[in-house]
Amino acid sequence: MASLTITSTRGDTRTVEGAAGLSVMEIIRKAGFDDLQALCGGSCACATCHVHVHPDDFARVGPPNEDEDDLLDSSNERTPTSRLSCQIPFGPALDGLRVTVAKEG
Amino acid sequence: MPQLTQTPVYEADLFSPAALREPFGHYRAMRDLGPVVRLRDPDVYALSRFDDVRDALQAPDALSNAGGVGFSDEFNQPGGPNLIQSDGDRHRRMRSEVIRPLLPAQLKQHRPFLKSLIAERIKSLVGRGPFDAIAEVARFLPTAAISALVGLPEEGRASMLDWAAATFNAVGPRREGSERDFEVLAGWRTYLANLQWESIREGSWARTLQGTIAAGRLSEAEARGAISAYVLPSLDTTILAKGHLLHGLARHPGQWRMLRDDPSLLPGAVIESVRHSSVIRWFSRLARTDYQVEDEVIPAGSRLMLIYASANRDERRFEDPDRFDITRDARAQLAWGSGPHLCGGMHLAKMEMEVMLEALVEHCEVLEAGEPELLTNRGLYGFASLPFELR
Ligand code: HEM
Ligand code: FES
Repeated sequence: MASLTITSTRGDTRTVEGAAGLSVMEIIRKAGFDDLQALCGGSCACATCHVHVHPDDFARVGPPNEDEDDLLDSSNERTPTSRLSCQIPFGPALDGLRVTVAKEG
Repeated sequence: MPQLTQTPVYEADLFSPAALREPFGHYRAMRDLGPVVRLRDPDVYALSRFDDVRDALQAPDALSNAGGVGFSDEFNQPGGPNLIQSDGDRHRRMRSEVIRPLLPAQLKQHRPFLKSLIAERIKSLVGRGPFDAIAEVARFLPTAAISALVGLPEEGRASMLDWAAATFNAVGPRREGSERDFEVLAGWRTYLANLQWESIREGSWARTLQGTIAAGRLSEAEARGAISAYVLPSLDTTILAKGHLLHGLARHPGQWRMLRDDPSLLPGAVIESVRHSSVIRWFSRLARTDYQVEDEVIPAGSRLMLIYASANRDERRFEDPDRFDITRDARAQLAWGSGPHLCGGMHLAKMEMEVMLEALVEHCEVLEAGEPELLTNRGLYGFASLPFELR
């Protein structure tokens, strides 16, 4: 098991165990963070699963793919470490990953 | 063991003209009857509560779109691939091509033009006395601009609204008058089969699909079928949604004033309006495997109706759900569906509604609505006409 630290839009932080094979989005949803909407359920079609990856962790996560990049571009909240969490497969290599749920916009 | 025989039956006919005009009392009664209810005609299971509809939309492995999303064989077996009635790999491939021009980053380039078009139209209507807001305002951008972006040649472009109305009517079960819808639909299928790629406007959304064939991403049949995704759901849906938004604001002058004072409420007003009066009433899924909802099991092979418009009025999820309230957080609503088939045109619909509202806020002080005439379309909820005045 690997762990993931999630900060909500309201600023509360929790560390949870994430099963490999799930996406970061699925882990955040399962942990009960409702402010991450994930309207399309992980189909890279809605951009409502936007997170900011902690800058020190970004190299391990890597940059967005092309479709994801398009979607992120439309957000006013985009930062250099923005990702759509449904497009990040979780696993041992990401143990200790820190993400903050992005505000909508 | 789950007791299938105990699934309550909702006896009233949801597809009668009266129920199509005034559906919300039926939805409430269904939600109260139980998580799963059965209908008589069509003979299907139905989900009407928010959590159950959302979970079902996110369970594509159990609940198939490729088995059809309507309630008749004619609708569910179209004879060629299309986006909404596909699953799995084919759906993923078709969808990623179709949504490319519909993503926010791509749409942004059209926003100033759409805004200026609708602003001119609104200005020309202010102080003009009564008019029909569906014909004069709601239908304006879709027919003047969106159909041009889709790219069909003129005779096809002129038929889009007829094809769309017939398609959504045909989503429902076979009833009196269905023959006529299936004829129009057959006309669309023939038109599409004979359509020459070269006759579609260069650079348009539909024409761009041609390139996916040579690139080996879609087959000829898939690329052609994908054209439907731009033609059939792109106009009527947003037209009716704008009708609801205009009506909602005109009937709640306090909220209209709030919006004029604080335009940051604008995106929320759009979302609340699609929650409150969801344009697409329902679609269905075919259960591939047994599918469990609470302690009931819907057996493999059953057809399951998902009522978006009821989910969005579920008192278990939204406080005082019948109230139109632009200040509530309605983001989690299901008017655009959820899961892999989440509406591909959601961003376009939002943008069209937002630029219309911006233009209204900038150019009008008073909105006044008369009594709308309700449609009896079996898939879409909305107004045929809406008497209106702008001052
Ligand atoms: C307010 C307006 C609209 C509403 C309420 C709406 C609603 C919906 C819903 C509920 C679905 C999901 C179907 C399902 O679950 O099986 C859907 C799918 C779809 N919509 Fe919309 N829609 C709207 C506007 C548009 C527009 C403007 C387009 C423009 C092209 C569009 C294109 C599509 C497409 C292509 C699909 C199929 C997506 C797929 O199967 O992957 N829609 N829509
Ligand atoms: S959940 Fe929709 S893009 Fe990630």
